[in-house]
Amino acid sequence: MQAVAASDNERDQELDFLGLLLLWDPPRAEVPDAIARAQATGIRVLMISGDHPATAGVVAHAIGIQGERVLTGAELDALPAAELPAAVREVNVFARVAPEHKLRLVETLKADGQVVAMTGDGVNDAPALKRSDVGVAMGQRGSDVTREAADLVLLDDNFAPLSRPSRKGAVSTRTSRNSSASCSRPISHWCCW
Amino acid sequence: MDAAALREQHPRFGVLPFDSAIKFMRVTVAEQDRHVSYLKGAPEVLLARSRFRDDKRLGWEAKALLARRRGLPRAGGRGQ
Repeated sequence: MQAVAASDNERDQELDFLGLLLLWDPPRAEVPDAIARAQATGIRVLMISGDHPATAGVVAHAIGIQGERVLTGAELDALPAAELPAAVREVNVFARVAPEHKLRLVETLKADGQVVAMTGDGVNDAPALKRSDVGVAMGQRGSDVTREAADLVLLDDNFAPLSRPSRKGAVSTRTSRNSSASCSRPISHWCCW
Repeated sequence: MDAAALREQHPRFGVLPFDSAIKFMRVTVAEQDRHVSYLKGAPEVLLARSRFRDDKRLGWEAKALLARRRGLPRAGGRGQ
């Protein structure tokens, strides 16, 4: 898209369309297996994405996250507070969300009595990581702020090991900067960003 | 296309970095005697800011949506 900019008063409206470019950023190869293992141990895996709902739905199905319904950030905003817990119980995929939605989703799950692990790599993920029971940051792609807020840092960004130790009700991994992190109850929910 | 030469010919006048809250980014460059902004971001967000009339805008939104639905390439392949 382009627009003629008027000195420092740049315009973001009345744009001329230049083209549509499709990018495909595939899920990492180890992801479907890690999700299947987490699900097999009784952990419900949710996906929270900034992407378009159609993209989020396609990717979710490809990596083994079930469910037809995708809720967007705008739909979350429109939902009466009383209906939020039921929606979050039912829906596994959230799309076009803003940073504050991540925090709201984690808080809703926790208020519902769930134990929540959250993975993320962006600066925006830091508050939700901090609020979750086990915050997991990516060591390679992650930002410093996110790593600081996390309980675990995956030094190689591979989160396949995460779904294994949680069977015991505690997460510990040697790839972590901190030697281990644990919570008293088994993780019931795992939110991937 | 020579990216370095393009950058030299069209100095950057301003940059608005990508922000997940607005879902687009913008660079403004000098072109001859004027400044031109280029925007890149979520199709439905930018199409809503375009000059297109509704029918044309909806047509391109549908194209973007179809491409997303088609989504995943078959095993081992790249996107279409």
